[in-house]
Amino acid sequence: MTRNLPSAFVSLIIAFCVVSIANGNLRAVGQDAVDSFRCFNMYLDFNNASFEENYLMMGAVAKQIEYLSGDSDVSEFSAYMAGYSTSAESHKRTGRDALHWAETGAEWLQSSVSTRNKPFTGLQLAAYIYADRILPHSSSRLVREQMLKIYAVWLASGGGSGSVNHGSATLYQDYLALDHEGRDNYILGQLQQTWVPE
Amino acid sequence: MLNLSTAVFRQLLSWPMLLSGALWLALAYNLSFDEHLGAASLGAFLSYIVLALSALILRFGYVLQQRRQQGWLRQDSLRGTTARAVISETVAAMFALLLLVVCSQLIVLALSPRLNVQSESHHIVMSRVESDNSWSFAWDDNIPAGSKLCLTFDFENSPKGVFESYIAVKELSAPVIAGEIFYWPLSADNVLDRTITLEAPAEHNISLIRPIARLVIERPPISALPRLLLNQLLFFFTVIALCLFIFRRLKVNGNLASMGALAISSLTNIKGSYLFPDVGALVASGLRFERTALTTSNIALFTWLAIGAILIYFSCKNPVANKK
Repeated sequence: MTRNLPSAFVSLIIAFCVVSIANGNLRAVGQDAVDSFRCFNMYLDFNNASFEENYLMMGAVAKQIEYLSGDSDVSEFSAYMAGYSTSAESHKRTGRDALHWAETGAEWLQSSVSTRNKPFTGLQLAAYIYADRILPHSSSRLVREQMLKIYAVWLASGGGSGSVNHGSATLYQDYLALDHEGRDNYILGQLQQTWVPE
Repeated sequence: MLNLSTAVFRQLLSWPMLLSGALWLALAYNLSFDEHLGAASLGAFLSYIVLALSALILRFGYVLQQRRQQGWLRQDSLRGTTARAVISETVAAMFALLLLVVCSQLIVLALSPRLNVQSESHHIVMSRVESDNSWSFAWDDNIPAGSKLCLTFDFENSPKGVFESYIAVKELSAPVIAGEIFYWPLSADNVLDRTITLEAPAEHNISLIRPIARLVIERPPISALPRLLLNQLLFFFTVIALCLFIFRRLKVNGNLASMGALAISSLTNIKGSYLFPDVGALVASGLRFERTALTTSNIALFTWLAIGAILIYFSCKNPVANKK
């Protein structure tokens, strides 16, 4: 009986570790390799989904990649493809279909703003999707407000560290100098100036 | 002793094992640094190496068990050579791990892969609002010195004409400009305390766009790989010692001993546990490894190595001889 005690003790420790790993309270040595491998497979899935133009799959996989590796680029790419690029007129989509995907793309970008590693990335794209793809087909006041809010947040966040628009701080300060109504018109003016029509 | 070490080493790394190791390295390299797929991450490569080292520990346990079944342990105790046998086994296991580590370093050195172009990574930290103009941030892990806190402030409700404010932490302060990202370099004290409280002047009425901040941590460059791999080797030294102690002193089955050693060493990853020194960062790996990599303090490292040395010392003692 006492001879088996050490073995029982070691087995107990192993069992405790297994349960803790299953609960998510402990990371075993070498466990990160599983996540790395999962992420590699997700990139494969994302590429396949992108090739097949399966946007829902792209969006779902991009979220998981973002969660595992912190890479937001895939998430933005899927939102861009679904919500902006392929909802253009040149893609011969029905208006309803294009609007649906534009809304979906904007929603993906908005829903991950708080969890994204870089808060500023994607906000400009979301504002452009609203301005160029959603607003022309929707008379909702909420949509307009949402667009203005997103663009204001993008201006406040400096356009991101990788932003090509180095003058965004000046833009934001010009925006702040205006009264509430003037601010909305200022954003609309900015959006009209900067987005590239097809 | 050299002959004994060589014998254990050859038993540990037989030809099929060497071939599997080479294949694993090639696979790990491709999975981690593929140009079209994957995050081109050094952390991913390190995670595959940690897995291979863990597999070697399991193999070590298996070899120990085989040697027990062949009667070598009995001979050791009869001839009074237990200490030499334990040291030989430790040396053989360390050399096996060293071979894998050196090969993984060589493969990266020879092929010099391209890493993620972004030299910094961002990690989310939630804010605890202290008051309307004060925010507190706390994080669990040791983070590298020189990390920064990245914040985005909203001047939407500030008085007209206020485009600039400042953020103060104790006596220090830094300007915040409307429309620019604010970076606060974390001091050694902040890194040690794992918390920081920022304060803005109440009259400027600025607020965080979202109640979160990002820890901006520099990714270790590829030139840091030798140090990262050496850290892994040092971590596994004590794992080998644990395995030998459980096997020799507690007389547990070799396979179970190696699994137990890995399980016990995993307990170092439990946050806030004072049972073991904080050495989990020695084997920091994975896609977000930069958050904790190279943060182990010298005290923790030397305590961990001392634990390993003590375990080997106790494993060297022959229990039968003691009874006499």
